[in-house]
Amino acid sequence: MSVLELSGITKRYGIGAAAVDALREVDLRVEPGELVAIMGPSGSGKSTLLTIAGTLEEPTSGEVSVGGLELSKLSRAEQAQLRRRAIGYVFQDFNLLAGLTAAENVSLPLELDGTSAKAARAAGLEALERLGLAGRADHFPDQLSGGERQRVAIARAVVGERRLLLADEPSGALDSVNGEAVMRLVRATCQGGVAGVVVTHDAQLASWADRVIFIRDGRIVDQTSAPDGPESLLEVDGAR
Amino acid sequence: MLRREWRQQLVILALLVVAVAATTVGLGMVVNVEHSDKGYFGKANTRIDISNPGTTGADLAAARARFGAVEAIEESSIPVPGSVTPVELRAQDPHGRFGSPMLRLVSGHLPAGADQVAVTAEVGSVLAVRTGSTLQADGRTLTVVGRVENPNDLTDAFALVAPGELRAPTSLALLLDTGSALAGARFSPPVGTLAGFSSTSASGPAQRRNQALAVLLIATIGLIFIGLLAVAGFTVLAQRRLRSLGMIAAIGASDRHVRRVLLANGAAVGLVGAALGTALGVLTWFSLGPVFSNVVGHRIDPFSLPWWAVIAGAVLALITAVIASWWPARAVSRVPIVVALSGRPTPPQPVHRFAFVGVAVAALGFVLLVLSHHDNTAYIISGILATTIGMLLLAPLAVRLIARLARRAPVAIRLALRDLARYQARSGAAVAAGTLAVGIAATITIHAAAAQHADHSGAVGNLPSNQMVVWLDGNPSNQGGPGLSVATAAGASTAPSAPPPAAVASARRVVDAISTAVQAHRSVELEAAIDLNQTIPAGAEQGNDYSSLARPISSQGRKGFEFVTTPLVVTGSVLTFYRIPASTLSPGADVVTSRAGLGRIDVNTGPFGDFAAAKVQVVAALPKYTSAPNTLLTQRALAEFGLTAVPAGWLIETLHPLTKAQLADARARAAAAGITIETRSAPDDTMQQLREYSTTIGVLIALGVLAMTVGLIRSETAGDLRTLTAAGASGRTRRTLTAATAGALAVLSGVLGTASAYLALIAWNWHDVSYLDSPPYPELVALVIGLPAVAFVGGWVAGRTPRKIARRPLD
Amino acid sequence: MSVRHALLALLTEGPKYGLQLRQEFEQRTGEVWPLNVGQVYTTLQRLERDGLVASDDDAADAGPQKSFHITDGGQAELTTWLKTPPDLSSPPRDELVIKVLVAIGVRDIDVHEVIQAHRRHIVELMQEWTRVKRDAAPEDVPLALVVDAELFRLDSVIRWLDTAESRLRRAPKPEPSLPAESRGPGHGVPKSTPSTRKAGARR
Repeated sequence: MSVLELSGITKRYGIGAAAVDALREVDLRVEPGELVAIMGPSGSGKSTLLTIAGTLEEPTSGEVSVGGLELSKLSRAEQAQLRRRAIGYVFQDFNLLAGLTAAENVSLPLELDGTSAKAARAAGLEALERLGLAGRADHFPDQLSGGERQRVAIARAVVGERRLLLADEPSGALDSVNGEAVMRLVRATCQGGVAGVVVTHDAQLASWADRVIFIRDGRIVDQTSAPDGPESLLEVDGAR
Repeated sequence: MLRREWRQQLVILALLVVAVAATTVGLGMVVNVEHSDKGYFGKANTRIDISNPGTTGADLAAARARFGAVEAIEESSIPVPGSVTPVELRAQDPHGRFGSPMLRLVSGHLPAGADQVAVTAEVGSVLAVRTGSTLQADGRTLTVVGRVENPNDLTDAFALVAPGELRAPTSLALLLDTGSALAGARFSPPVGTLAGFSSTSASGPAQRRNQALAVLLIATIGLIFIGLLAVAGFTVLAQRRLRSLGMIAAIGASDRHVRRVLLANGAAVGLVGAALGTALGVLTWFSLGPVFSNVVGHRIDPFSLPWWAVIAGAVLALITAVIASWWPARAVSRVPIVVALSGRPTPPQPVHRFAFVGVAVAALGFVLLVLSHHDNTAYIISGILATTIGMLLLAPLAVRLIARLARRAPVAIRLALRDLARYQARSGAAVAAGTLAVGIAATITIHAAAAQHADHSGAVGNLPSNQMVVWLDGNPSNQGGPGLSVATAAGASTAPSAPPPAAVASARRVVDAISTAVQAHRSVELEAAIDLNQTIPAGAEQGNDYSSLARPISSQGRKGFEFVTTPLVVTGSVLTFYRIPASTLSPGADVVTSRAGLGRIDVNTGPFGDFAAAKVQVVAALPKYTSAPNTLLTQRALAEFGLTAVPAGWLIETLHPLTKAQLADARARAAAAGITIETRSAPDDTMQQLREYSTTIGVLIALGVLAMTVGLIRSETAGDLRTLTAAGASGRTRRTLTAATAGALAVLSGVLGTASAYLALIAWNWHDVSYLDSPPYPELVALVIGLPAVAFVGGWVAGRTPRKIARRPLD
Repeated sequence: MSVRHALLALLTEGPKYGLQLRQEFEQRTGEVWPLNVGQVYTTLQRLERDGLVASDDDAADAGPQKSFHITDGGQAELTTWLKTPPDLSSPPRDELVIKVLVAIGVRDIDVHEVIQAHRRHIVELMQEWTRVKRDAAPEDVPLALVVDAELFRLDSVIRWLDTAESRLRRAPKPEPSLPAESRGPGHGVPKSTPSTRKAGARR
């Protein structure tokens, strides 16, 4: 069963002559363990796709289902619960709450879900440890470097039993080595069975995905085919 | 940049308007709150009261011969059916040389001629008369022609006839101007007896100085308030501005460019805020005038505002706004542009230094207030100032403290409190402003409660305003307390008798009816002691036949007794009523009383009975009111002196102060049955009203300030809201966030405000701290618990989900 | 990649046999560029001919056992080469650029589809390279460097394609009959040169 399934999603902003379609009839399925990159220039609708998949916005038409649940049939409270339990979200910036420590930021969804503070902290520390941030657990965001902050954000997005990881330019403000580290983490998370969707305009980031989907003017125009093994690459290059 | 912030600018403008308006109204109040003594003296500086002057006018003539210009006010009384308290009837010249400030025509016209009378509103309702109706007084029928009042003492209740139209004056007040205060004291009227003498000369300048002092204080505190709110508002903008300004600086704007833009903005907001605030304040003051008149008990001139202070407040609002808006520009020129651009929250500064300074300054203020002894102006002003500033400096520490306490709280509350602690500049200023609003309200209310309490515990007051006594005796000449008069048959000696059971039963029925009508909370039957074996000689004056207490005195070698009080009798129900366990009464006591220092007391069994020394026990739990059962004869004394307890009256208590309508109804029922009621004679609800008003206004201002600052603070964390939402926060969590922010600020404001009020008042009353022994609990609860509760609920209601959470806030 | 200079660089560490040189070369380039023994020996012979290396053994047929060391001339040549910037000034003939330029003029061909086809192909290549990097041991820095170089090169092509696409979108609709050389403004103007150069900078 697909973790994320979008069918016929259209999102229209504004009305009448001023109406703009950010997305038009978009279909997308993401399977468990799969990392999908959505590539497109600015204004192509890729971020809207992500906010709709993350229940932060409702499509004008079409149906979204996450883990088999049709979002249109869920109340706002149930959608919030879904975000707390199943969906992890990584933004480009404005990721962390400045008023909470790294560990508190990570355990935030669990705490919001009613997990006891102690258990939530334990889970948060574990997630931080996996990302190599155990020593920074009680630091506040302003005491962390950009790369560390992004890693904390990813830790929050994967804490608990996540099934869907959504990332919007997750390494946007980072240098390429730090960006690569972030993508490695996302990749590793997906290998654990989580479905991942990364939105980016950066081909190097997108190339971490199993499947790259190209989006233009709100439409999916193309996607990469199933990958060959890396050996073929060496042969191609070796022949030069 | 400035256009984008219009919402924030509007909130800041509103904050300034509120601060300036509140200060203006506050100034109006302090100038007019002081009760002037013109209601008693008029324009004169000396008043001589003479009782039983007769009708010859000899006393007035003698006074004129001695002092020159003297104005006379003749007085007698009108009995009120069913009440022990009569109404005062005056003959006074409304245009008199001295007395004119004591009279004002409200409606109708002034009495002229022999058969006209004007009454105050109070008297109108007590006697149930209105313009056009008639009343019996002074041995004739008078027609009510108008409504009058004493504009300088609205509690003064009287009926007015034209000068010289009183046939049988029982007392005479002389108003005069005299250079020497002592000269008046030595005046001895040829006919009447000198009942009292008083002079304004001592209190006048002191009163004016007090008023100036109060104006200065309110002005000072109001100005701090204005400044704080401006700073609080603009500090919130500063962080956002820091980033925009960094950007402007990065593209090459000079510091001067930046500063000029911000100064212009600050000046515009300040100017509009000051103007609107002053206008709003003056308008509010004008419309509050009539209400306020009733609270302070005298008519006020709405134009009697201390204009210099009002203008100073407006100017300060302008200046503070300019300075506060310029601050970020200064910060940008000090902070490296890169840091400004990053817009990263700067880590909180350590607050311990602040806190230490705060404690030191507050302590200094305390000491200055103690040392001022109420009369060193410089000490008072600097003391109040230091106390206020000291408490305000503690605000950031309190914010930090509450954030630390929240470590174990649910995440939304924790986040709200952490944010407060992180953005101390704004939350500190918000708390400081709230503290000030609460502090002023708390000071007034605590002070009013203390004054009210002092009033109760002192000699003043026959009964509290929620009690009445129905006396069995129908004789209105007994002005308070029990009285049983036996009609003496001419020429025959007789023995007093207990009240006939039929009369008692009928009175009881009336009491029950009144209890039901006023929704009595509880009641108790009062008994008095009487010696049924005494003999009253023929021809004795009608008087009080109950046993009484007297104090032996000796004067010029002759021994005699001085009447002290007519005691009631200790019964089980009286003890229960006052929750006094019978075991606490000493078995050997004859008299139990709440009045300490009675000295040696004898029991007088009756007007023609014997005197015997009594053993007195002071029981503090007994009431202190003069007409309440404050002094009681024990059953032991009854047995010892051969006395009999007979029904004398009933004490009825309600939960709320009795209303005028209830009193009028009770009076009518009593009058119909030939018995009387006694109720509180001195109006005491003005202090109560003052307490309620100041608490309400303080809470409202604090709430307004909080609402606006919370709005500002939360608007700055819109980005957090997006992150929270993505992490799965429901609308509930977001509401909790706003509610917790508001609630926490309110708690801090309430606690700090009340604490600073107590600090200042303890210092002020250092010589007698017990003056503050009776805190106004309901009002304090309203400030410390009610305010946060309302703020929390308000935050909950206002913190509803923004429609577009997924969109990033415009930057 | 100049095999000549790579061998010189390896010889700066000390005298080495031909076989050893081949192994070390492959190891240090992350085994991305396989080198056959013949290539090594041909290159070594040329270097010896030019006096940049010298063999320790005079026997010409010593074969794999022949050990070489770098000469002073070789050292100088290596230093000069390392510091000489590659020739980036003259635009190379790039097949991709030519294809896109041609596609603009061909009837019934949507140039955007051509661009997307290339883009997809390049992203697929990048995915493969990334997989190589992902599967490599973390301490294998040389491999990562080589893969990065490839990725950056491919990325620059993608960026050129993106730029080309948005430029084509923004430009006024061209007359399809006109030959490619007489395109309107927006094509072949100096501004586009940097992208073109980037795309063709590889060698």
